[in-house]
Amino acid sequence: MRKGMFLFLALCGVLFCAAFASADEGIDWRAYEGSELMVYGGSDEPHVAAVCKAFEVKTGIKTSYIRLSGNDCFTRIKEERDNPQADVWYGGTWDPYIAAAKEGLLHPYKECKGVANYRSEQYAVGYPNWFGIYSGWIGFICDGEELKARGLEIPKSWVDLTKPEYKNMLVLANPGATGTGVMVTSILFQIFGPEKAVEMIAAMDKNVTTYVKTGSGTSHQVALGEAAIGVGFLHTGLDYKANQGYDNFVLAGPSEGTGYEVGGAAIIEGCKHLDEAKLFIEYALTPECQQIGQTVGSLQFLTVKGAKDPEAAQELLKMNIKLINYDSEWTGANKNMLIEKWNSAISKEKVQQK
Amino acid sequence: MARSQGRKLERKKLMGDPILVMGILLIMAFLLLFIVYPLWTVTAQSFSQSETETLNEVKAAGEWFVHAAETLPEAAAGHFRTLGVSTGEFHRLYNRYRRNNAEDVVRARAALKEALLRVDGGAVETFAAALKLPPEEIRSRVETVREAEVTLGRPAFSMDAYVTLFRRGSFQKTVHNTILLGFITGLIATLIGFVFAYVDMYTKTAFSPMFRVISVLPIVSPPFVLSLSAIMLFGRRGLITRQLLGIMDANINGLHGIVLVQVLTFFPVCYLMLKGLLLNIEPSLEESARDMGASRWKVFTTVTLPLLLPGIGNAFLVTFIEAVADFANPQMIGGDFRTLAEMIYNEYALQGDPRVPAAMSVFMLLMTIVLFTMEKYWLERKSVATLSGKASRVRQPITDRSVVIPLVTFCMLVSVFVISMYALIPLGALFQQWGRRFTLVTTHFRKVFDRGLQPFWDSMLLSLIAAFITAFMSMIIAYLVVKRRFPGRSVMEFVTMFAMAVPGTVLGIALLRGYITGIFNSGTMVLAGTGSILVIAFVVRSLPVGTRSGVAALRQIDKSIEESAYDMGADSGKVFTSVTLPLIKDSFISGLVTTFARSITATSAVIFLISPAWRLITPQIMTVVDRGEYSEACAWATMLMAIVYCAIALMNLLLSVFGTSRRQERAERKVWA
Repeated sequence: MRKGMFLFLALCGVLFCAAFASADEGIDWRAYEGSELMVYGGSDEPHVAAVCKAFEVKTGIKTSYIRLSGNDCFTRIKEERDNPQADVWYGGTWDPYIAAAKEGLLHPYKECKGVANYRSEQYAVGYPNWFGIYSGWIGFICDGEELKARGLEIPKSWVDLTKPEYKNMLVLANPGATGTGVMVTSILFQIFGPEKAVEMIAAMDKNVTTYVKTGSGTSHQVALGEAAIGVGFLHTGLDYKANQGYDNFVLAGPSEGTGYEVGGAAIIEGCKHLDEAKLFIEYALTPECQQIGQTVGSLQFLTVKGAKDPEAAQELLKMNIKLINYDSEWTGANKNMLIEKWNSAISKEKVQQK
Repeated sequence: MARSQGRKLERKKLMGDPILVMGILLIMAFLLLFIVYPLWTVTAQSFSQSETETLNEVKAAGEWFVHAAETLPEAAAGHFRTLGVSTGEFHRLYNRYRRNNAEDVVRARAALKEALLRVDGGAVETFAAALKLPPEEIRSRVETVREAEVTLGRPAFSMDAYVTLFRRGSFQKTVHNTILLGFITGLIATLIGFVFAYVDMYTKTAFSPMFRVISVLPIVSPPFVLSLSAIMLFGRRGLITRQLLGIMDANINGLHGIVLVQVLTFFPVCYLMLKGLLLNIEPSLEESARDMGASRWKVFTTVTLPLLLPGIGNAFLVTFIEAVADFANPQMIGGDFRTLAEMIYNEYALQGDPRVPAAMSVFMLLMTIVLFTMEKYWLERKSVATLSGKASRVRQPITDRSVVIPLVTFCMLVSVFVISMYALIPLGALFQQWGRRFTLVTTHFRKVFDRGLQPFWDSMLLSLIAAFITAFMSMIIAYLVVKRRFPGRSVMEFVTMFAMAVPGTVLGIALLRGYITGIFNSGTMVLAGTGSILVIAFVVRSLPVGTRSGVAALRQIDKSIEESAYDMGADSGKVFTSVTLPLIKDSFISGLVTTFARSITATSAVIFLISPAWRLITPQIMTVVDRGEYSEACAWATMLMAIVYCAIALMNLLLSVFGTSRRQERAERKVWA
């Protein structure tokens, strides 16, 4: 009976959304005025803070948050599964969301109205467990000054990274330690096929100064001058360039194509304020909310119609970066294989050195 | 005969001493609740059976039944549709709670059982016939569900996680790395700490007070900030490496980088520990040796060193374990050099099998147990106690230039190095852009104030509470362990030490897991999200260090001092506060200071325990570093260091006002001067 009701409601929702292009209408934003909401924020702190503040103003729901890295959010939510402390998980890359959905940690929100407003199907990849709220691309974050001083070009392709002139210039993420590393390895596998990819990893290994253990670590190393080329999310590089004053940063996309991430937002299963959490998700899928990010330095591409992408991100669009049809599911299913292949490809070189 | 009588007497004395018995019970309860129980949950997890496969199978079976039943009329498929639906429901709820006794799981399990009873042989035959499939296929699916219903949630022992771990080539390398790192860091830090303590206690130079200030610097700084300084000085674009020496491809990432940063972080702990011990050495012992014609070197090797040996071993051990358990520095500056603590954190972050990092933690715990046992049987036998208990007067400083000059020069060099590393933090906070643009601005400090100072107050308050609890508790534990005989004594000692080897990440997760629904899921003591769980984490993290320094100090004091107080009719509370505590006051103070500083700079454990009500400063710094706002991170760190430094100065002041021996000391110093 409840299930039937549920389906009926979902159907109504879909019809409703189809009838009105703008999902914003028909939502009573002040319905839970005076209530409370708790958010675990996985994206940059100013972003989480600004969105929570705006939500509080719009709905009158008292919204508090803690900012943690995406992976720490996952670990906390998992350990708190019997007594969830937070209602909403907002921001951060998709890997932990995919893992959490698999573990049943996320509350499916089938009747979500905002989904109808997506620009593309690819952002609904987590529906109904989690919702894409922004998107970013993998690319090369380079220290233009350093490369110029050494008389080197900005790399243009994955193959370029294997060239010997970039010796000791490159920083990559370690797939054995971070999801970003897994993603880059997977992109290589998806573009070049397993054999060629392993060859490329081994060839790049000769140029690598460090394999960092966090996804943001590649940009760090470039910002700190420890490496000249980092492979990571371009919008992080954009943030450094536009907001942190790193005018030596030059961004580039590989000509063979690259993969993308989708940043997520989700309701935590068993949370204490389900209705308020649903409202938050609806809010996260409005152009109004998505455009908050760019005012506080988060420069990713947005996912709903009517939302204006950050001015600074236009730079990436102009580069005509080719996006492959990145298969996140395949990556998830083959994570261990990818790590193993990576290990065997690099260890030969590294063992000899040490 | 005499010995058994002595033991009997001891027991009688113990039982007739309610303060002592209460103290022991309270401490035991604390250790059990906040160290043994959380660590037990981690150990149990590492030996548990993975249910992922069973869960996947049962989910697939449930979906298959629902799907198959859809195509059939109600009469043929009825029971199987129910079976499919209830299987799906059971899977969903079990997967969600992973806890057998959760109400919803119990209900779903009962429903599934009932559905299973209805699909007897006859039903299978009809169903198979309707689907035109062999009955075996249906039967095997039913069997899968039936088996899963029975086995899911039943505790099962498995070594799978360990097998996975040891098969992984990178794990062995990591263990090797970790031991190497601990050994090198321990050795260098102990040596430097010892030289500092020796110079501070045995010579009189104008620099002595400076050394004291410098050696406190590293304890008050949050981790990874020092890594930033190291990169700024010695990195590829480093001020020293490139600007001064013109090296283009310097690489600070790796073992040498971690060792550099860790030695700077941990040598002050060694210094404080050894200084406390040197203070207690009776100068007349050394002087009499000198009077009888022994050279300084001879005195050092035959008198001072043997008295100090347990302390030195202890300092090495503490540094070794701390270096091994440190996660922030290897993460920041480790490069390809992987260590266990860092691997455990990143293993959790990869969202793989959580039993694997649990198994790694158990492995680390075992490593520590081995170390402690070795220390106990090897070093303790060599320990020497002095009868006097505490130096009766101030030592006449060494003036011999051949001794003083090299030692002081060494300390000066180290100091200059430490200062240059730490000066970069406030400087870095003033630079327009960290490491690139060196114009001085105050915007970064303004940003800190804009974000609000709540984290500072929260951090300070909780750390202060933790400091006092730890200082008292560690002295009581040290006293009980060294001076009293009671059942469970060695358990108490061991358990206290365990916590040191637990990487912060594991402790944080274990405490969160242990207290998210109350102890043993009972609903009482739901501490998650409160300030007290943070205080507990701080206490557990610092208790071993405080206890070790207390133990080492107490071992130098002969039992007869306290016995004479007992003989004159004092009870154990009185003896502890009026005889023992004053004798180990320096250890107490160092425990207080160290705990405060360690707590306020603790990082990896608190990530899992903070809540909006209790925001701490280190996660805030992490957040800022994570975004590459290094200058702002330095501004936070500068404020943090200033606060901790003031707090320490205040604490010292208060203690010198309230303490007695300090005043005496000063008077005596005057006499010697």
